[in-house]
Amino acid sequence: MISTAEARLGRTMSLWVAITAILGLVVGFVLIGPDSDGYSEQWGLLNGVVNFASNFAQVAMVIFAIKLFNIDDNPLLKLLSYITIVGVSISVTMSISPAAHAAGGWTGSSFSPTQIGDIEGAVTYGTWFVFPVWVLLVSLKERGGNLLPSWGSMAGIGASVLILVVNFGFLLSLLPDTIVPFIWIVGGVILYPTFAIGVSRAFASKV
Amino acid sequence: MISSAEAKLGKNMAVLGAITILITMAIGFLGGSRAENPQLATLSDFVDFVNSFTLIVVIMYSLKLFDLDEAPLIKVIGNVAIIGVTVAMITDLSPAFSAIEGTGDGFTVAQVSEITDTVTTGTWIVMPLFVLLVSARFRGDPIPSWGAWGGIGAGSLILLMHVIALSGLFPDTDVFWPIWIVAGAIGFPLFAFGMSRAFATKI
Repeated sequence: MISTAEARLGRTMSLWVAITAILGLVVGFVLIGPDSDGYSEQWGLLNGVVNFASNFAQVAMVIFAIKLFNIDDNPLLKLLSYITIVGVSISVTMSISPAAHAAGGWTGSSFSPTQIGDIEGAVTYGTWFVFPVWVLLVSLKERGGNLLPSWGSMAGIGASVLILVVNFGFLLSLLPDTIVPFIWIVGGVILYPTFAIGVSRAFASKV
Repeated sequence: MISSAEAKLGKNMAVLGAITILITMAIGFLGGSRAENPQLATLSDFVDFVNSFTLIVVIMYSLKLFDLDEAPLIKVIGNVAIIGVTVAMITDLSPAFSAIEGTGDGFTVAQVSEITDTVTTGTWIVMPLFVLLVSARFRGDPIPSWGAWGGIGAGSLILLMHVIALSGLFPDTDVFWPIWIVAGAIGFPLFAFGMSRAFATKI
């Protein structure tokens, strides 16, 4: 049974997921720019801090969602939840690494900040397959609208299907790079934040 | 509810954590670089491995020791810290391993060391934050006041060190030594001994 304090934090963190997703777009798309390749000396630290906050909020959301949605009763979803928590937690621990490297002095000089960012991407790559599957299954399980509003579950289904299709499309070299901004805006800034706001509403019903 | 066996293990691991951090500090002062003193560097990696293991146990059982249902933020930070320190533990010996002949030559030992640091950068932000929050919330009961103050001091200093480093205000790493000595050789061992006393109340 989720406690009131946990539900309150879950509500806040889910909202934070939505806000940081949009902030991430502003930093990555507007400040750094979609054509930029590699670490941004000017905005890299801000980007790292936003990613750190976003990943942390996502871990909190998943941890308390296990209690909120009674995921303990669904062994596959429970397993995916734990893998997601581990994967996104590793993303938390690595989010600031490129900025720390760029600050210099104590992190060594064998790699450039861009290479450190690439290492981060390589280590956490699978997380962004598992997490969308988690979002998809939670959205399907809760589409009745009892806890998660139906618009939230529909957005979760749309975001996760889009991200999974795109991930496989890129893996199989079936999609052009030019599609990335579209995916980012539709999946990352409209659908996924809508899902997160829906989860926030679900948590709010237990406060 | 924490069991007596878990509290006993938590107590012993907290003491071992305090001892190993002091050994790590001592080795840091004794030895030069890995190239100058490879045996000492390997010993340091091994002590780090043991230290990380003790941290995992202490954090894991402290989540049971303290009733964190009413402090969910500390619970989340604790869970992230457990995963982060586990990643640190499994990579602590990687530089020593890569120095062995015949274990692959794609990366130099220095590069492997930097990769392990890259994987765990945020761990050393989340973990001190956990120490700071737990110390502030449970100061006096069940963590003795002196242990909690040690944790508050160590956690605050390490977080301050990260802010200074990330801001790039002091590129000269010598500025970190005094902070590291106070936090690592005084504050954190005090916190660890305090945690040991806290676990002992549940045996």
